[in-house]
Amino acid sequence: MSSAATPALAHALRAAAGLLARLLGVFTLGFLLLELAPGTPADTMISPDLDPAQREKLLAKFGYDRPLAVRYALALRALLGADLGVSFVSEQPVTQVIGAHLPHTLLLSGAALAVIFPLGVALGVLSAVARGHAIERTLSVVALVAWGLPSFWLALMLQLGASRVGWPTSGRVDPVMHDLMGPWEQLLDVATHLALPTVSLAIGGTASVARYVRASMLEALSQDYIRTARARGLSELRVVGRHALRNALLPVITLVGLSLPALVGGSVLVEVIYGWPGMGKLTFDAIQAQDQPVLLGCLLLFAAVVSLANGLADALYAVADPRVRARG
Amino acid sequence: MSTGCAALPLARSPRRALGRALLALLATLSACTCQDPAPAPAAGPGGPPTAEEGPRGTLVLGAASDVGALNPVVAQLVEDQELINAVSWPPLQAGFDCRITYTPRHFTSWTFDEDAKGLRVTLDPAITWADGTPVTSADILFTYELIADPAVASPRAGYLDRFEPGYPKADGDHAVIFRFTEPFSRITQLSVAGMIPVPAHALRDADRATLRGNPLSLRPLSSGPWAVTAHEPGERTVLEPNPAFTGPAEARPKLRRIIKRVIPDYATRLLELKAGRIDYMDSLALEDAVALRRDHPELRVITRRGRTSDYLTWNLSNPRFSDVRVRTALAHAADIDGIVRALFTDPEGNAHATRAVSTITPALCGAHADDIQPLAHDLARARALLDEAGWRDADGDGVRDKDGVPLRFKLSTNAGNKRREEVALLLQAAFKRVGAVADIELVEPRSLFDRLRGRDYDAMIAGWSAGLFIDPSNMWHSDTPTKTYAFNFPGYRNPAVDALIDKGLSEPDDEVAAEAWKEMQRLIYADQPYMFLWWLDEPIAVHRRFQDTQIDVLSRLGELHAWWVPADEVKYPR
Repeated sequence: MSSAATPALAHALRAAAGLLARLLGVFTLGFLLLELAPGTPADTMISPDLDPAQREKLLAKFGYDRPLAVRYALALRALLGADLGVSFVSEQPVTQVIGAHLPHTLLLSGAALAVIFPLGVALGVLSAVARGHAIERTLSVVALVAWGLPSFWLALMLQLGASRVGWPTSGRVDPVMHDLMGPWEQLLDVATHLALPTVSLAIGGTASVARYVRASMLEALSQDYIRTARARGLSELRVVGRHALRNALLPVITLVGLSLPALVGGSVLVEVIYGWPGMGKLTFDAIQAQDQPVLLGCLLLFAAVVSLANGLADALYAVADPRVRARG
Repeated sequence: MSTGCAALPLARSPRRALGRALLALLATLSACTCQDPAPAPAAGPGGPPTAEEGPRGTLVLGAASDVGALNPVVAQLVEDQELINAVSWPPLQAGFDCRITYTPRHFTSWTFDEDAKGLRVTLDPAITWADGTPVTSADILFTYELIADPAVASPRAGYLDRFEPGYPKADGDHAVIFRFTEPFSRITQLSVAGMIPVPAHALRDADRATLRGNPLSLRPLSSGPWAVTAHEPGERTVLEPNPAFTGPAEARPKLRRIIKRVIPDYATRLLELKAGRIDYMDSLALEDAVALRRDHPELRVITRRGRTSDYLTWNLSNPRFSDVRVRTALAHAADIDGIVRALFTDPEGNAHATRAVSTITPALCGAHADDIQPLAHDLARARALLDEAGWRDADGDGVRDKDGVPLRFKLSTNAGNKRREEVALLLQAAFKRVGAVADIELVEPRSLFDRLRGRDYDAMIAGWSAGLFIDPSNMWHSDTPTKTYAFNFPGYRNPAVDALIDKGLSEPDDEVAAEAWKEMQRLIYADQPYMFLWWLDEPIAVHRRFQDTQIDVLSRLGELHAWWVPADEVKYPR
């Protein structure tokens, strides 16, 4: 092994150990929090007016007739064997349950992120460049209002407006006609149903990115190297686009990293309002039903993605900024 | 053996204990015989589709949650039971006319043993599963085998307690013999025997600990008019006519598709209903039902009555409530009719709740005590009763007290139920007028039944979903040294009521049993262990283009194979 590879390997091992420690922490915390919640999984699964003996049998099936420590140890052992277990509610493997919901959240969150970053950067740059003009004041006010709007309220308002013009207000596709459509019609159907939840999620995020980029751009535009570039007679487009924006975008890398977990986590309220069968809704339902295996599976997935996204953001930052590379 | 195969009324039950389990079974069997009052149009463009024409039209149901399991052994949700009825050819057809009735379906006939401890049922040999395998006695035996298996943890395991060891047993491929440990009424025997079977040949090797997760739980092998052709988790379930259905021709579906859409949010569901993107929605809020009636003539809003009630239960072990005069006084203080007017009456003045006087639903017309006069709102009478019971405001602080104990208590209800929270506030104000202080406590919903069962409360507002099978023993029978009745939340004890329950459950004559139930209700109402509040209407909306819909006290989606759409009102052309 070369001497250059050793620090990199050590770094990778430290990162992997950190990831495992975080996953274990999340698993343990999630397990204990569910234990502290009132009631049991059986309470949401069987009618309360059935014989209590049936409730006890169901709890025994879930292992609730064993002490907490034993259940924790068994769950941990299964996890170490890469077994996330079986959902209490559907009795399907947790990986299968998550696998059925994850693609829908990836689609929705991906669409939202695809709107948020390009549009947010464009509006942020425009706002910074047009400093002092009416357009900047207008954009600032709009961004502030949009940033402050709760996404669920926005979702409800959009839904109300859309229902008046006959736009689909719920679901991922047309439940009746989708199967009978041609491929292009199906694509259009998906896009039509994707529009409202995407806009609901994207408006606040776009405003946030725009405000971030504006502040970063204003700082960049006030730097000496920008003055120098202008003094050299470079066009304003080149000054802004090549010199200022490149530096202003560095903090956005962090934002991208922080946004990636949302890609798998989804949004509970928007998914519930639009009947979107994603991870947010799945997690919410698992909490409601105390479906411990599914909830722990979701939490582990989120924790892993957060850790990986942070690592990715660090790596990208180092690639983009020579000063970070120099510091090691 | 004596023979009997006519419609059997249910108003008696010779032994207690099966009631709870039967409530669930009745749901699985619920298939109403009531017809729309209007005569069915003749076949043709405006009439139901002919056999040559084939099914037409699509029904889109709006549902709050996804299908859980379409396996009758493990199904928990009423909504699932309704789809199970559609994809199965049930052993018996349940009907309701003041009481449950049964007529033959997959069970073509039955004979009862003379000792009232058993019956032999004969199966229709023509009925097959969708793969062509006949539905036989082996399937019925296998179904009970699954129910008995602790690994399955079936909610219907309580049925088995009453079977003699070794029963049920097959008598050839198309007959089954059931024997019970003690005599039961005929209707009870049929109810227990009438479990919808599952396919033994398809599930024999299934992992029983994860039966709900078996693919056949979501796309079951059908024996009925409908078959599940698609299930997309959290999105929709699609039913289409079962091409292999071998039941009678008149039971073949008249619709081409039924799509159950999952729309978790109530407001979104309502929007979709108004926009015509779903055709059916239940559990409507009263104000929405009123608005739909007014603004959406294309929808028919049907009121389902007598299945849901609210009550306030007193903890009788609390010394404040041990005296019937206190409980009666607080009932007089509460303006229950005023609350009905305030919360459940629409702008046209129609009340959508009726005063309750017992836990037996008024839908059971023969057994409900219609003669009980609800306690009137009478503050003077309330104050006089409290004075008489020794509760007076001795220290002048505005709160009555007795022996230094103030008439102050917690009034609890489940958090998140806006209706009950409002009721709690109104009752709190009413009690204050007679010198009683109720401190409202909102209980985490999952803890509600634990608190009630543990009698860990002072006063609690809760509700019942009423069964159509009368067995009040669990609710009202006194505890014995060996048994605590799980649903006797107040801790009520009345030997006269116990005797009436025993009599009602063992009495073979319906009329005599009904009198016992009525007298029991009168005694309980006089004792006021509950402040009985009201029976709530359940509004359901369905698009008018659907004909022969069967939405009633038994079922919200009865006899789906009979629903149809006139040819000129088919909405989805393909």
